[in-house]
Amino acid sequence: MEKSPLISQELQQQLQLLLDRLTAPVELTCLPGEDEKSREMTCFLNHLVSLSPRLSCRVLAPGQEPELEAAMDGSLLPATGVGAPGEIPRMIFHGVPGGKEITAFAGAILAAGGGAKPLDRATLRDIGKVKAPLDIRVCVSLGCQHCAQLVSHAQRAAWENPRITAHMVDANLYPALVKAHGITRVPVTLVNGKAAFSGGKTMAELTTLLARTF
Amino acid sequence: MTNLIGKPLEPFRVYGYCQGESRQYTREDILGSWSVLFFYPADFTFVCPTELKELGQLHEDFAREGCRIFSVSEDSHFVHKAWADASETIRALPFVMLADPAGALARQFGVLLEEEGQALRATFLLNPQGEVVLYEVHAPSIGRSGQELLRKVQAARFVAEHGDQVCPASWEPGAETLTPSLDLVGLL
Repeated sequence: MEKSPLISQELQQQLQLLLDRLTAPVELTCLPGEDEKSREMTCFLNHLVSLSPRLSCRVLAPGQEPELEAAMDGSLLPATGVGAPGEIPRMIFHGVPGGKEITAFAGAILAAGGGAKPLDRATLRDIGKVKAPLDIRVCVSLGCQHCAQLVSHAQRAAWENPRITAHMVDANLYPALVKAHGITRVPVTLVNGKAAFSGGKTMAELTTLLARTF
Repeated sequence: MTNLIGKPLEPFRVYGYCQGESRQYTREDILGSWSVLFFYPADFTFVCPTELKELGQLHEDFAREGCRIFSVSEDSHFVHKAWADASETIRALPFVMLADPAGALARQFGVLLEEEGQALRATFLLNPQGEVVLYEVHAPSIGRSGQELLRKVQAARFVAEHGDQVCPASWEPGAETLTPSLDLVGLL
């Protein structure tokens, strides 16, 4: 197996600490493109799954599973979903989750694998208030400290409520998206295709916004 | 040098000129919205009209940001009118040209050259509470960019609305992936 240059010895030890907490299998589903970032991502995923027997990875060819491709938005490649084996993932990462986003990515794996901190009852109730399908896309820069936290909250909400799908989008890689929504700062959150709000949010602020607006 | 960030606008009373009309303006005319005080050395000079013309062209963009522009020089409002009468560019300016011949405004912002009786080329952005949130002071011969000022106004407004929960974006297509930096505190 080729080691990913993104996973240093120190990071590997930290990830190992987290992955040892998994109690359920987690599947990483990757839709790669043909670009350098996609190769970087598949290498990263291969290295990552070697760290835990509970992690597995599927790399799909274009058109192999159209339903899955549509659900994960195959227009923004590479796209990687985190979820339970065989299910359509609702925690999706577009781009490579480097920089601060590795925390969000690790958080998604922990959530799917039963190793995340439990949420309090009030937060779960608020997340459950979302009754209609919600597609949340947090547009980020990898070095943005506010972004990863918001991505983590959105991903966790998606894990807890099957009506929610949450995407991390490394806006750096998708200039057309940046232009279309006039994004000049991060994080900017798109909900069901429209720019909904800017700036970092706590989980309470996020669930309040989602429940009130959608 | 004294730091002027956070400095509140002090009471003043000066005349202002805009498209043929003159009247008195006070602090209360400035408060309540974002305002740019745009000091320049003197009417009938060369760099000034190019700066003022650009600001005039961007006036609607500033208005969309909820920001008003007030140019300020140490000339009287009669001189402003004479300049407007003599220059089509100045006549078309859509913002108020404040007249500060006694130096009340320039002095409170520390940009009055007492011996020359002129202001430095200086820009102050005030928030709706009348506090300075950014400023720049140039040597008289160095002109300013209206576009750059507009960007700063947008940034100041954005930060005011969103606090410090945002990061500036610096899109660099094809940039290298940042080395992962895992925060274990939130996960364990």
